[in-house]
Amino acid sequence: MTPRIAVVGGGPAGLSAATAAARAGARVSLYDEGAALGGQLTYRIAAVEDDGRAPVSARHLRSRLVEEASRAGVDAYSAAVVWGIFAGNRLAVRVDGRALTVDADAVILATGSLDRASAFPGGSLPGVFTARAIQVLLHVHRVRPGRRFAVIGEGPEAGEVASDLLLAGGEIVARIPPDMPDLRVAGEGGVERIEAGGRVIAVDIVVVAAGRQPDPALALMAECRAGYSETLGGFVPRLDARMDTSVPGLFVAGDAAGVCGCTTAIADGRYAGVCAAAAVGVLDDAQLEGARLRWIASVGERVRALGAVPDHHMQVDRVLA
Amino acid sequence: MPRDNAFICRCEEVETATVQAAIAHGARTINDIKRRTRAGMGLCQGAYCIDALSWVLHESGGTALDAIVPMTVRPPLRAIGLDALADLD
Repeated sequence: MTPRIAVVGGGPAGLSAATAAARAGARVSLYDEGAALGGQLTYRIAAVEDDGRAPVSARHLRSRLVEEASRAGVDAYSAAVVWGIFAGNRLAVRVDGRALTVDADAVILATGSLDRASAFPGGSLPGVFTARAIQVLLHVHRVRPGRRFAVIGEGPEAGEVASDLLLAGGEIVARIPPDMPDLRVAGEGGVERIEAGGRVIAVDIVVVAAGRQPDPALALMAECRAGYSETLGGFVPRLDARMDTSVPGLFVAGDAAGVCGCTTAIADGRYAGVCAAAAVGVLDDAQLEGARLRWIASVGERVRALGAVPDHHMQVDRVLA
Repeated sequence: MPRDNAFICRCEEVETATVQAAIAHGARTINDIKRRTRAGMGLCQGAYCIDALSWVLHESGGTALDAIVPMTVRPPLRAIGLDALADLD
């Protein structure tokens, strides 16, 4: 029986991992909770650095990754919610109104990242959005939820969402650093104005672009060793050089292993797919070593970042509830 | 650092000051904070607030960031119908 690998998440990392594992000879199924495969590529439009080649649009890259997975024979499901992971790499999946249990020889978690929250007075008023929510509204639903926008944040996400809003005909009336001590949002029943640095500005919508954090929930549910890393953007599973966790047969790739962006997520995914294929016995060590060298060559900084998490910091004694 | 009277956990509407008070009364882990304040027990199951809670624990409680233990995560991870559980083998 051909070994089975399950991939959770159909963004750049998950699609690349699934393709690599399927090409290596494993039977691969992929589950993504989004309406369409592609993860961040479904709601971003910004040109994406494509593995050292010329930059391409998110839409183009998404099509190519989905097509490659399909040609490699990956059984991919969208609108498939993985709501549990249990001992022995068993997944509980909700797809097409059916409940599935998937028993895999190896599982690759490519669950991506979430917007980082920011707490300020008025932050729960209707009209306060995260950057990602704005991008989904603009590029998936084709809705610009207002005209006058304030963007809170200074990183690349803030620049990207501001540029998207301008392209969509919006007006950026304020760019505000996230650590302004007097920042507050106010209005009757919804956002009407933002106050910061002694100024009061009338706005329709406030966008919080405070960066991203890894989404490690399934890895934590599987009880693999994990810890907080500022370098990697939040709680991350402890990985070894083969992208595997302390739980046998459980691999993590892409933003879920530490926020990294699209190009690195693809490189991570390819390598994790090969590592999982080797773990289930469809690839030999020489092929694995070749993939490892290619991964290091393409994302050297990443390798250092993952390795920069000192092992003793990751020794987590779980406090049982 | 989140401002004191802002919601640090939006799902359960828990203010930062409430979390700080829990720490002052002896909460030392994310799970302690969760049990005392309900922060992290809402729809998102702590996915969004775990980072901010970690920073408060670090800045108000003096715990090193890399010594913070994440909250216990249990199924179901997403809101699913009871029929999904009933259908399981």
